[in-house]
Amino acid sequence: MEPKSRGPVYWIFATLLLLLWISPILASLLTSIKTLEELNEGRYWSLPRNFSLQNYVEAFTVGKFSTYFLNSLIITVPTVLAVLFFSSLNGYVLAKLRFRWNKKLMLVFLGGMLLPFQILLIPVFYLSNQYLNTYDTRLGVILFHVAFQLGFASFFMRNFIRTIPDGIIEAARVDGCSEWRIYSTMVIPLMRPALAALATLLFTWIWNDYLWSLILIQTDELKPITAGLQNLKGQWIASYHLQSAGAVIAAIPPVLIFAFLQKHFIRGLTMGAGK
Amino acid sequence: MVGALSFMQKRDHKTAWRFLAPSLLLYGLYVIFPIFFSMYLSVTQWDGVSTQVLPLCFGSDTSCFQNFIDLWQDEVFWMSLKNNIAWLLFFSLSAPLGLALALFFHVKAKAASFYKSLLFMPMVFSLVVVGTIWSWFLQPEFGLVEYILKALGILGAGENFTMMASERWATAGLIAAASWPHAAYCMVLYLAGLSNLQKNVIEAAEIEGVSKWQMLWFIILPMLRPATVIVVIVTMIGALRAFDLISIMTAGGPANSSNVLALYMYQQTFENFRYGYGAAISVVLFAISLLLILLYLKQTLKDETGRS
Repeated sequence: MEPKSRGPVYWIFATLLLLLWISPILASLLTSIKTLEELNEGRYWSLPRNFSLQNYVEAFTVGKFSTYFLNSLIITVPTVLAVLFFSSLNGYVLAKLRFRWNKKLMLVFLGGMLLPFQILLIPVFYLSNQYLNTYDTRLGVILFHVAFQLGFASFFMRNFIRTIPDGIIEAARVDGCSEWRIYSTMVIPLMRPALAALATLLFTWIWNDYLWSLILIQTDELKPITAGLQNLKGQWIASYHLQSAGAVIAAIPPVLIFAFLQKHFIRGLTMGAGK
Repeated sequence: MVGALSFMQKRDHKTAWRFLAPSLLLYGLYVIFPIFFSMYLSVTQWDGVSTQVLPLCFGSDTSCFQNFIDLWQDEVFWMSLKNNIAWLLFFSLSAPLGLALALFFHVKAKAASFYKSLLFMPMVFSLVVVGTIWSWFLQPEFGLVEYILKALGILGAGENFTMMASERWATAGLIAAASWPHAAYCMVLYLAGLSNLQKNVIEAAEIEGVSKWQMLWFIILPMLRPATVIVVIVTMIGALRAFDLISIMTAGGPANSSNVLALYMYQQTFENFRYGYGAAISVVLFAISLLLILLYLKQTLKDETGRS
């Protein structure tokens, strides 16, 4: 359907709607640059008297957000890379190899992505604690995330690799190329857009995770930023100026990814919705 | 050729196993095995420490399904289940809200894409961030909602907006907060659907002079069906997975009135150390989700065969 162009009445209404929609964001941004004194005077919804980043500095130092931020990166980046690698291998098998279990495997991957996390909580906790020695390590969280995200990611990759014509792959096979060479030198370069789309989604999901670090990490110094924000809330109960600064910091990386890679992000999300 | 594999197929099989091996190992260990392990634990009374765990009915006259019998008599379980149903019903309102936003902002103008980017924004926030923001958005005394209600004269000077402390309304506040990012997500899915609609059908309908509502109901909505299927599934799964936001905003309170199965399972397991009981709750949650999962798989298979 073609979008239509609109008049000024529409734009006034649209702007009001937008402001209402993002008012929670605006409110957090405003509060994050105010002092506690100003908030105590009841000046919650006015412009700040003077612009100060003091709350952000405090969140990073007193609130230990520098540690949490780094932990989130240490957990998120390797997870995304590992999922991209393994899911593209799986996707290649599911899309291009004559493998007897392809269909069943795809259903298993697809079904897994909709599981309620609770059915996995106790066993994953137990395995990490008793057998894998990964309890209370960032590696433990990474391993779980990689495993769980493989479901969606493999299906995603398979759907993309299926659009690569069989002809060029057959031709390479006839020339005696190994499957590994076909995958790494032909398929991967063609998949760049799909890899980018998947990477933006995975980054956001892993960065935003709260539950699994809650279950698998106990030491405060190893926790990611979502858990850190929750700690901040617990320790400074009425310090809304600090909390909002913390919330803004935790939101910045996914927002940046979204701002700069919006096209990839949306293409990834809408795969299947617009067919 | 039944049973025998051609040379090419054998080669493909070998490669397939080699490519899949690391993933299958991880996936089996962290996703498949845990499902069955949880089912097993649900018929035990494991304390989380003992190394030997036998089903409840082994060597005693307790029923193997004692955890489930206890659940049946557990008021908090029913309260949580009821709240999950409320989530299923009211969280679904993000779908029409997302559709309305998509229709409203499906506009030709440079500014529109900027507006849309800002509207999508809540979608990429962690639910911890959403919970933090909304917690004091809905606070009594200085939250924005109270501020607006007072400015409009709906709330008197001495009164406070106490939604989140109310047993009756806390879940509504939680669902509202959760719908904020989720409606943005639905909007994205519907916008993608809208941009793929067939132009000629809509033009033909316009020439026929159908009303706006007829156009929406009889022409646009049926064409948006693929988007709706995905929206409905992610919404229902989201309602069953609700955990982060509740744990952050109300911790299930006041008096368990906003608890849900996912959070109750966590509390029983990791706060009260009743692993068997927690596992039983997770099995109930799994059983409900299984219906959705099977529906989704069926739909996907249908789409697959329809396309190839």
